[in-house]
Amino acid sequence: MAATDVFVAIVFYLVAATMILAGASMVLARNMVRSALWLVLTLAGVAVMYVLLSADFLAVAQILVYVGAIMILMLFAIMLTPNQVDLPSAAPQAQRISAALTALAVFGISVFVMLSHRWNVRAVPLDAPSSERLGVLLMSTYVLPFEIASLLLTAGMIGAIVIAREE
Amino acid sequence: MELAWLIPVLPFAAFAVIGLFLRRQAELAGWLSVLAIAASCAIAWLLFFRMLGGAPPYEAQFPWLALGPDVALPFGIRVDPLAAVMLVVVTTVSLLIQIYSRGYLYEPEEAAEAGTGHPEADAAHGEAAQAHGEAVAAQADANERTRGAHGVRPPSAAEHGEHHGPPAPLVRDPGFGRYFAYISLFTASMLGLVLANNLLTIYLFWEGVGLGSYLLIGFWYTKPEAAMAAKKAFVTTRFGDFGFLIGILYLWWQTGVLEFGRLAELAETGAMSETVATIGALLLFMGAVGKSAQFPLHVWLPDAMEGPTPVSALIHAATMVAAGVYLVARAFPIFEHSPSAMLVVAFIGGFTAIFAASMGLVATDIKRVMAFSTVSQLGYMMLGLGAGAIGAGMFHLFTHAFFKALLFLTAGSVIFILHRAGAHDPEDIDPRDPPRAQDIRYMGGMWKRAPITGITMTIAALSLAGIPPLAGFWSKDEVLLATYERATHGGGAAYWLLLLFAIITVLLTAFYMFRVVFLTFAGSYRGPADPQYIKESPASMTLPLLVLAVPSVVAGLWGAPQLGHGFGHFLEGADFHGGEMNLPLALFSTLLAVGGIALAWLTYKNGSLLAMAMNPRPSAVYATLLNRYWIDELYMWLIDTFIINWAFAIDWFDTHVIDGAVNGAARLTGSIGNSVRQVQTGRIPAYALAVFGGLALISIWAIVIRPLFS
Amino acid sequence: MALAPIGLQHFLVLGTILFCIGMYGALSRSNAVGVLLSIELMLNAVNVIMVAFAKFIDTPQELAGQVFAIFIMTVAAAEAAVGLAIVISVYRLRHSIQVDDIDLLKN
Repeated sequence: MAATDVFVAIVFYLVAATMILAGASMVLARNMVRSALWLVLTLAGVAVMYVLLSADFLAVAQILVYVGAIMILMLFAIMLTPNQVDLPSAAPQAQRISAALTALAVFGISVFVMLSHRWNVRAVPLDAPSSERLGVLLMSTYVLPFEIASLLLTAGMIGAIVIAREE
Repeated sequence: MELAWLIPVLPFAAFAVIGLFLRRQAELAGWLSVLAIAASCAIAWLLFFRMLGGAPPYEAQFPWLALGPDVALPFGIRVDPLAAVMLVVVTTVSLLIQIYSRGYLYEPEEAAEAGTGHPEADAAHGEAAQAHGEAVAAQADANERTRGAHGVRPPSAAEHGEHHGPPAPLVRDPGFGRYFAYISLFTASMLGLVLANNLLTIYLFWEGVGLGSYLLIGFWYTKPEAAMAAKKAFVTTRFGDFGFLIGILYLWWQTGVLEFGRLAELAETGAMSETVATIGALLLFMGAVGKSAQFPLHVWLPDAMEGPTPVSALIHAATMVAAGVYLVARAFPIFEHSPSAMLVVAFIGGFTAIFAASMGLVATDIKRVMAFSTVSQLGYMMLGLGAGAIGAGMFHLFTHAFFKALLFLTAGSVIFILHRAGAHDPEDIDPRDPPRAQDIRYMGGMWKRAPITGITMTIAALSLAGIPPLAGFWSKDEVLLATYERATHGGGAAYWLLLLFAIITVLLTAFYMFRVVFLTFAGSYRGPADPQYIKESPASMTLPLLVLAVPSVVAGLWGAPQLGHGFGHFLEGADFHGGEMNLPLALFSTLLAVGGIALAWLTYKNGSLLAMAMNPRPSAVYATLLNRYWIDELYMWLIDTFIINWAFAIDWFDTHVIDGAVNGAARLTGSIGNSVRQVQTGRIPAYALAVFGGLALISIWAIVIRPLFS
Repeated sequence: MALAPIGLQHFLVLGTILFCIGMYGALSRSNAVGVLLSIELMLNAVNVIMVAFAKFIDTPQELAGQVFAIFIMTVAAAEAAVGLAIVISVYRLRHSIQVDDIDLLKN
């Protein structure tokens, strides 16, 4: 086992444990602001995972878009709905139990599939920064979805403004 | 001939215009209506003379409702001698009656009634009352008690005048415009009925006539009796119409045609089986029985007297009741094809004739006597038709239209005069009695005071009684002769019995008609009005009387055997085979008629039998007749006992079984929905849970469970 | 397992765990913003798996997983914006963002 592999393994397990704990805290936190902050931690963990997965552009975008923009938006929404922050934010007992059962079932079946399936793994995993090739792909092969995505964002923005606008 | 369609359209247009625009312009409405019917009348006469001149029958129709590529319901008209005669009769009588109505509908009584809702009428009342208030002031004290009985209305001079002073001023009936709209509709329907060339068209107008009669009988709809009578007329005739409609459908189903001409062909060539003809004819006859007030559906006609008298005249003489006879005449080939149907027609007719005449003997309401007389005469017509003589039946319809219209109009004139003279009902009047102005027991002595009315009524009564050479004699003789011929030529015992009925009816008819004439005109006045105010009716009323008196006298000559059976030849053409007059029979019936008149004279004029006739505690026979054989009561009892209970049973079935099933289905669905709706919480998390739960279940199924079994 | 180098399966299991945590949150949260947060977590879990596929799976479509991730991110951004706008307008209307109270479609 190479030194980098050990390093990667250590980082992976540490960050993964953090993410899972943070995710669980986020889901269980009573206070919405805390919940949002726990999510920030999880999403940052995702960014680290992207680095481990050689997706340097996505890692940066993750920080910018999620940890930066979306979470701010979330926090704003939480702030703009005062007196909702501290309300008991969990559903009734029955709902939570069935939610847990469902999640466990999905988890079980997914893990079963993922581990039992024989993945067509490539000999040499993708390595090195991928940003450049990603940029070329987006401007060539995926240019149409790319443009549609920009349209979607514009529409989403306008929609959000229209919906949230005060009469 | 091409103008024929205008005949019903003109009065109908008058109805529409009056109904839509002129209900308030009474004067204009009256004139418009009269004008329209006058134009129709002119066209009708034109057509009639063309037909008389030998013009061929005219027929035109168009497909009205296309039910399929080959099936279309026709709408068409047909002008042939039969229709031409009817057109002339209907338009002429209707014209005269409408002219008469313009004078008649000024009743003081109605004006007083209208006072509650008609300020104009009230004002006119009051002003005129002031004018003669001084004259009656002296009498006012004497009438203190009467005034008190009038209740809440402040006593006015006019009210004292109602009893002893001069008659109250005449005010036009507030429904004047409405009246002319209805009567135009009624006439238009009848004319359409006459012109119809197929069963469906005739049915359409048939119902139009029914509607018109309903509206007219219930014209004074604020009177409960009038509303009841209108309802009764409508429901009773509907009863017959039900059979009529089934008959139309039956004939159509069996033959596929509706036109009279083609039905006649089928019947005459034998393409229609006798069974079909019998069933079809009897079903059609049901309609005729209802409309023409034959036994057992005669009960509505006497009550129909609640309408204004000119309406009664119109209903009785030319229109409504004639429709039934006309229908039988129109569909005559079908009837002729079936001896049993003919026997039924003859029997119903003959029985109705004597049955109604017997009730006419005791009725005290002048209009009701006329009504029974009409029913009886319609029986004659049916008897004539049933005896196979379409000429005889229609001839009697033809002459009867004139003298019966005349009788009703004279009766109306009498009532009008007495009303105007102030013949008011006492407060404690027996509710079973007719109003005093219509009760012949409270009349008398009007001969000198209303000579035109008296003379014309006498002429009409003579005509109806069958005194030669008046119109009624010839047509009645034709009917008797036809029955006699039928009886002697294979008709069998039934027709002898019917001949006996018919002959007895002659006696009865003469008796009850002259009972009315003598009680009304002879002797001295016995009623509550002041005799000095009994004066002849206005010219607009007497003129139609005089005009109608002419055909009442001479119309019969057209069909007289001695003068060549003009009517029969015209109507039946080459088919006519009228025999010579049977002199003994004619003589015998005339003698009976004279005998009836003489008996009436002895009873009512001479007074030798008067006391018995006026006996307040009548004998059983008298009571039976007076109560019309308790037929109405019988019907009511039948309805109460069976129909109502049956209706309750149906109602129970409806609520518990039908509704139960329906509601049960609904309740089942509802409860299923109720149990399922627990799932539809409206809570988004629950839905999301269902989505993911479903995902999990499907995944488990697809990935774990299915591979185990494959 | 601990000795094996970090490979595809590790990331897949991590993504699944995060996804299921997010799912539990989305299903059990009663605050609408909480639900949205959970959904973000689910989307990110999927992204992780996508990017892991891009790195490890042998496929002619090079980097397809990363492109997918970018689009998912875009959609998530739009969804978050619109979703939060809806939450705010609902709050303005009903003074509550408890999902149990948002039941206008019922009845």
